[in-house]
Amino acid sequence: MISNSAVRHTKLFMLAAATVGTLSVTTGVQTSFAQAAKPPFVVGFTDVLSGPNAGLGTPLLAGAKAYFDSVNARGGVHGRKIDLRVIDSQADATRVATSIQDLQGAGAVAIMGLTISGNVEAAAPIANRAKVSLFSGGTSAKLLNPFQPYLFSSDITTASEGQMQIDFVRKHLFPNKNDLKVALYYNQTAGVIAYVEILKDLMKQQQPGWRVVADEVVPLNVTDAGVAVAKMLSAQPDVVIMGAVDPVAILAVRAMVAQGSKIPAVNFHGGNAERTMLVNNYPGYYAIRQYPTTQDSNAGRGYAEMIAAMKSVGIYDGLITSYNAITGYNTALQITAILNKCGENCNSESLQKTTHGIGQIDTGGITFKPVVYSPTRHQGVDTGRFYRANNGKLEAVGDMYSAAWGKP
Amino acid sequence: MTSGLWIQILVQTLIYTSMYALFGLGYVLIYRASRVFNFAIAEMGLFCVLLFTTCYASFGLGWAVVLTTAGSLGLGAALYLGIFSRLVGQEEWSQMIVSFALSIALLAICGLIWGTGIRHIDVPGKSDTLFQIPQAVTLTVTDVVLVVMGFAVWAILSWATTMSRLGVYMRATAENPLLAAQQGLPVTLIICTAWGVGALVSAVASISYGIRLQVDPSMILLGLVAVPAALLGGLDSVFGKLPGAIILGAAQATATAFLGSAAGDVVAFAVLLLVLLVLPHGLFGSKQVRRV
Repeated sequence: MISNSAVRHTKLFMLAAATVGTLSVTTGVQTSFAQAAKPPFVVGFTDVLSGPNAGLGTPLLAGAKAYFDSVNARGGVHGRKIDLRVIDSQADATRVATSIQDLQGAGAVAIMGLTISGNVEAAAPIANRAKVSLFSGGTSAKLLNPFQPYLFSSDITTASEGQMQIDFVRKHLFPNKNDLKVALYYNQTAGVIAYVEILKDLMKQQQPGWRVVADEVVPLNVTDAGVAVAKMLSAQPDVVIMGAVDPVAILAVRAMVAQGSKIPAVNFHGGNAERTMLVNNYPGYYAIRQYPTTQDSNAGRGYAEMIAAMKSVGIYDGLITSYNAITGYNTALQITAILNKCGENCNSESLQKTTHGIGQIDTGGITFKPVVYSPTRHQGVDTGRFYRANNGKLEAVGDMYSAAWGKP
Repeated sequence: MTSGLWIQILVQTLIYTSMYALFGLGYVLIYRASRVFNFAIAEMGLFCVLLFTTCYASFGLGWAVVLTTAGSLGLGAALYLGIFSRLVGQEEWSQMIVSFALSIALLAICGLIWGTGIRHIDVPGKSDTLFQIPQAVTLTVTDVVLVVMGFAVWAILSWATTMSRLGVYMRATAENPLLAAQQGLPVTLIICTAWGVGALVSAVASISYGIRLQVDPSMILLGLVAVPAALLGGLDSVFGKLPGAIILGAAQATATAFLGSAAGDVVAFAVLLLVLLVLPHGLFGSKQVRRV
C-alpha cells in the first residue's frame, strides 16, 4: 500500500525533475541559439584555381580548408566559426585586385593565398588601402624590404633561401674552400629570376672568392635537360645552386647522374617535394625544406594531425603530394592562432595589430621553429633544413639555417 | 665543344622530335579531315592521361591501355559529333575560336573530375637503364619507348594517310565534304575516325611525358610548343610532321648548347617564321591550303 504522502512526494519529485529538465533543455537551446547567433569570422582566400597554374592554388586551398574544418569541428574560435570565402584569381593581376576588394567588402578579417609573386605585388597596395592583412606564401623580397604594413609572408621567402643555400654550401659542403666555382641552374619565371638576382648579390657581398662559371635559365616546359646540363658541367663547377621547380629539377638531376657527375646540387624549396628527391635517389641532390618530411617520425603532434587532415582531403598517397598544401594548412593555423589572441570582436585592423604582438606561434612541429611575427618582422617562417635521398630514404643533412628577410 | 655535348644534342633532338611529332600528328590529322585547327589537342591529351592514371590505379596497366585507347577515340569522335559537326561550312577562324574555347572548357572539366594536383605514373621498370654511354648518356626504358613510339606512329600514319583507302577518303572528305558524301563516302565516320586518332596520338604523347615526369595541368604548354612543328612540316601533311619536328628539335637543342636554354623556344619560333616566309604552306604542305 502506498501512502498519500509518498504519492505527494513522488509527484513533487516528478514535477521538480520535469522543471529541471525543461529548464536545462531551454537553457541548452538558449545557449545553442546564442552560439548559432554568433556570426562567423570571414577569412578570404584568393589564388589561381583554374588554368594551367591551378596546381599552385588548389592544394593551398585544400590545405587551408582541412585546417579550418578541424577548427570549426571544435566549435570555431571564441565560439565563432570560420567562414572561408574563396575567389579564383586565375593568376590575373586585375582579378587579384578586385578579389581583394570583394573579400574586404565581404567583411574578411584576413586574406590568404597568392602563391605567384607578381600577383602579390598587385594585391599588396590594395590590402594596405583596405587595411586587411594579407598572408601570402608568394611574397617577393621586394615587398618585404621595406615591408608593407598589411602584408605578411606566411612562408619562407626565396630571399631567405638564397642566404641559406650560401650558408649550407659554405658551412656544410665546402667548409675549407673559399674559391668555389658555382653553376646556377634556374627557371625562367619572374619570381625565380628575382630570387637569383638576390642570390648573386649575396654571393658577391659575402663570398668574394666564389665565381659563377655557368648560368643556365631553363623554361618551365623543358622536356629534356641533357644539353643544358652538359653545357653547365663543361664549365667544371664545384657546386650547382638551383632555383628549379620539381619537374625541372628531376630532369636536371637525372641528366647529371647520366653524365656521371658527382658534384652536389643545392636547390630551393620549389624542388623539395619528397618524390622529387626520391625519384633520382641521388645523394648529391639537396633541397631546402621549411617543413619536416613524412618520414620524420618525431616531427610532432601538429605534424601528425596535419598528415591525418591531408589524408582526409586526398593530398596524401604515402607522401604529401604538394608542398603548397602544407603552406595552406600552416597559413590557416597561423590565422587561427592570431584570431584566438585577437578576441571575439576581432576585425581586420585589430588583427593586424595582434599579428604584430603575437610573438611566437607554436605549429606543433609543422615548422622546425615557431612562426614569429612582430612590428619589425613580417616573414613568419625563417628556418629551413636541407634534405636529400639516400638509399631510398629521406634524411636531413647538416644544421638548421635561419634567415628572416625584410625590414620595416 | 666536346663530343659528349654533341651526343647530348643528338639525344635531346630525338626526344624533342618524338614529342613534337606526336602532338603535331594530332593537329594535322584533325585538320586534314575537318579543316579545323584544333587548339584543344593538348587538353585532349591531358584528359586522356588523367583517364589513364585512374584506369591504371584501378585495373592495372593492360586495362589502362585498352580503356584509354577506347576513351581517346571516343573523346575525339564525341567532340566532333557534339560540337564541330554543327559548325561545318563556317569560316575556319570561327571553328578555330571554338576549339580555343573548347581547350579552356576541357582544362576546367579535367580539374573538376580529377583535381589539379600533381600525379605520377609509376610504371614498373620505367627508370631502368636500356642504353648507356658511360659519363655521357643514359637512356631509360621510357626514353627509348617514347622515341620509338614517335617514329613508329609517324610511319604508320604516313602510310595510312597516303597509301591506304582511308587516307584517300580522308583527303577527299576534307577537300569537298559535299562531293564526298554524294560519292557515297561515310563522311561523318571518316571525320570522327580522324578526330579519334588525333586524340589518341595526343594521348600517347601526354602519357609518355607523364611517365617520364609527372602529370599536372601545366603539361598543356607542350601542345603550344608543338605548334611550330605542325606548321613547319605543313599543316595538312602527316609525312611532314617528322622532318618538321626534327628541324625544330635540332634547332632547340643546338640553341640550348650554344646560346643557353632560354634561347630554345625563341629559336624554334624564329625557324618557323623563316621557313614560312619562304614556304608559306610549310615544308610539305599542299599549296591549296589557306593559312589559318
